[in-house]
Amino acid sequence: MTEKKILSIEEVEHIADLARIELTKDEKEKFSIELSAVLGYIEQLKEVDTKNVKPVSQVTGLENVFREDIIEGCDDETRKRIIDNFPDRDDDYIKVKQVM
Amino acid sequence: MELDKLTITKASEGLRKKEFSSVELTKAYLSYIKKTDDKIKSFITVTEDEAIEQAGEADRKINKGEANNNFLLGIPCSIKDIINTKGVLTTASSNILKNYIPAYDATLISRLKKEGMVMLGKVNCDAFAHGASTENSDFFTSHNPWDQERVPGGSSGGSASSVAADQCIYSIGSDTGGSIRQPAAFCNLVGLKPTYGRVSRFGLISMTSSTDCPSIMAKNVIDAAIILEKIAGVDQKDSTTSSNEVDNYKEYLKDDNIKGLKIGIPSEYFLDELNVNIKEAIEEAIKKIESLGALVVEIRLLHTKYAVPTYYIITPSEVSSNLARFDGIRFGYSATNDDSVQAKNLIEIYCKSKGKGFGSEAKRRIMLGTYALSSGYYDAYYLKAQKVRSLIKKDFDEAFKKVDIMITPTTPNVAFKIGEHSGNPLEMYMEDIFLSAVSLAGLPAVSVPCGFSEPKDGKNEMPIGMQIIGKAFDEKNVLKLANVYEKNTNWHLKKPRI
Repeated sequence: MTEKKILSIEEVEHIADLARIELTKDEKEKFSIELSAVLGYIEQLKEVDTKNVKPVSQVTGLENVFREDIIEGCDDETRKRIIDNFPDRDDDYIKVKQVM
Repeated sequence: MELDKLTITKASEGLRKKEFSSVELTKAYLSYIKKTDDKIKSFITVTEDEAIEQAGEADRKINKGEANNNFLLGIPCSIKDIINTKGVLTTASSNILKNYIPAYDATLISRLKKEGMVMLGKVNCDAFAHGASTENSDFFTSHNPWDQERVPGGSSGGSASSVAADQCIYSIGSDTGGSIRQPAAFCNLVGLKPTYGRVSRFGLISMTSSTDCPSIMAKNVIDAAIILEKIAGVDQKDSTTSSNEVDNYKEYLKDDNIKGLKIGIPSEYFLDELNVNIKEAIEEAIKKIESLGALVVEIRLLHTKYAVPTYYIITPSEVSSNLARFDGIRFGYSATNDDSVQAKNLIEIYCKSKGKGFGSEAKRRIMLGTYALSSGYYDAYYLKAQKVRSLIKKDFDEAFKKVDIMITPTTPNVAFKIGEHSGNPLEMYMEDIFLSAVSLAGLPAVSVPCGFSEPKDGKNEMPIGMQIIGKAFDEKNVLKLANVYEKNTNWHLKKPRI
């Protein structure tokens, strides 16, 4: 039997902090239960012997795909569409809140 | 015009013979969408004006005799709302992208536009393709045309419901862990997931970059072959696309000889979880295929039962990285311009934009993935999962030394009722039980209609799907077997009453 992994509210808060995501009190409680259930289910992988097994890196066997690093221009319409998506702007620049 | 009888081949023939114009065809579909979509709820956006304009352009080409072998010219389709379409709202069925208008087309969209497609609109899915029923859409749930109390499957549920309800002739969706095959099975359609890297992911909003595949929902196998031929192939903008030559799939289907074809039946896919009616339908289908000359061999895929737990480590891990871009800075919902949210610095903008913008399932996966990748847990979860993934792939590699192709059920049960699993994320994850191994191994697979079953708690017969799995980049033989089976059965011709 594998032991059951339980995620405490504090652990949920820590992960949310790492993910930069704000959770409500209800969400923290819900995720503590739901994520514990999923992690419990995932625990069964422990029984698979993976000694000397290499992890998958790319399934179809591609390696080191290169291309020339050339700047491609974009038309005004595309440029405008990108800028129009900015949530906050000053002219054509993205505006962000203070960092510290 | 009998919309329910039109396939790409038939509609294309009708256009060339001038039985109807593309504008007439398009208007017929648009008015049928208006009539039926209150009930079915496939569409998030109907692009009426653009569709009529594209159809007019197609008619001009046809009239000038420029149709050539271009079977997609003037044919109306729907596109899953997770695929970027320039100038057309693309939401990924999420609140965070509720107002997002992409500045560019996905590569597959540019390719379809070159063929003269007519896009009727963008269809619903689980938000960011996280789900198996469309119940995780931040907007609404789509309905299964065979029984409107049931889900159409997911995540490409709107693709399935729109094609099954004859609101369009085909649809492009995506399949990351079963998202085209499962809804195809639930709605009596042909759902083709190509090999990983066969079709460019550029412009497909990323979920699990190592298994995401743009995929095809069609009414029959030949239609799927026609579409694949046009959207497949190497793309400079997606370095994971393969430079292998794209086969002439449609031409290849003319050969319908499957004598001596070795078909593997993995015994791990016929366990207790499998509904007895589905088991019988698949066994019946296998007998049929055997009677057409194929050889059936039992095989083993020993790590099958670990596919779902492996998938549910790898997927959330990649999701947590891919969804980090929705931080309220460059596009999408931002706490910056939400008066109901107070944020005093950059970090708070990130946290509050994501906290308010993402729905439950996206948050759950971000959290799970962040945990699996965090310091101290990486080896136990992510690395372990990528190792088990190697073993899952090896199972397939070994088995494919003995057989040419495999057959399994697509799903363990027929379409479930709306709300039946929505309270339990684990139950929903189990929907992928026959599908995620194929995704983890990057192989091509198609689900084709193979029967019907009346569920105990239902009033209507519901469709059953059979999954055909091929070797990497061997879509042509997957399609060939599917086509031969389809020619010898009538399941795909059955239609729901709406």
